Amino acid sequence: MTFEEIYHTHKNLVFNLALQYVQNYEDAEEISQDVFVSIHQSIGSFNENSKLSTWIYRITINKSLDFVKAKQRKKRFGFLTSLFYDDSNDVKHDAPHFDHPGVQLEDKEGLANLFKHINQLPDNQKTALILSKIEQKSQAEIAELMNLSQKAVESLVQRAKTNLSKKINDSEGK
Amino acid sequence: MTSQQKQPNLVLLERIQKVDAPPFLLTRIQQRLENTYRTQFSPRVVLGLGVSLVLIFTLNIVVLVKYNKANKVETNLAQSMNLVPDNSLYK
Repeated sequence: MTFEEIYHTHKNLVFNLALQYVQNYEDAEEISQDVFVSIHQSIGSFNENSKLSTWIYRITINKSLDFVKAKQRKKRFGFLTSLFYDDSNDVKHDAPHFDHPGVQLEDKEGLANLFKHINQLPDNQKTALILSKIEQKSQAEIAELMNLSQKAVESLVQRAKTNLSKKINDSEGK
Repeated sequence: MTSQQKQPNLVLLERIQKVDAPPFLLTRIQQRLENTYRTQFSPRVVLGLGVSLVLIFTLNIVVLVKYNKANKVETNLAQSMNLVPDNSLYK
């Protein structure tokens, strides 16, 4: 399978999964570029025993989580620099905005609020929730993607739901 | 968790639709790949740089060792002729 064939078969998978992590078209595009560059560079080391899509899923999850972490670091650094250079009203580091093209207009507000809380979950809970609820993957598939047992996946999804409830109630109680 | 707690509406997540990847994504990836490979050094250049560095280090070590040896010989010669081995004339 050539690189272009791999790209055409998996481009939507990669872009949509990245979109669930960042909820922003431009950021998802940047992650997709990173993923395919990484695939191009390490296709030689791909273990033929595992499924190609599983391998690509894992790369996309890792790249998305790395991207989110890098963005958070940038945001913290932006806050620090704004303490020292607070002499203008210009926006030096803009906040990430909700720009998910797969969301219908009537769901936009609710989902923007829901993702605000999902983004505060630990990485593994967020991944388990995205894979089970948005990507509609079975527990067995998630277990394979995350290198976990099915029981561990079940527990992760349950903890994600509990934490999400707490966060939502905390924010509404304020 | 108490029963009064509000449950998250996860059904909303299931209503998210799949979208198509951006139209010029492949072109941008190919551009990035070209730039990545252009900025990378070829193995021959890396090997050449490595060998040069090793040569410079070896040369430095050889010069230092030879300098130390020559200094020792000069000191011994001056002592054997009952001369002061350094330049301090006012001892």
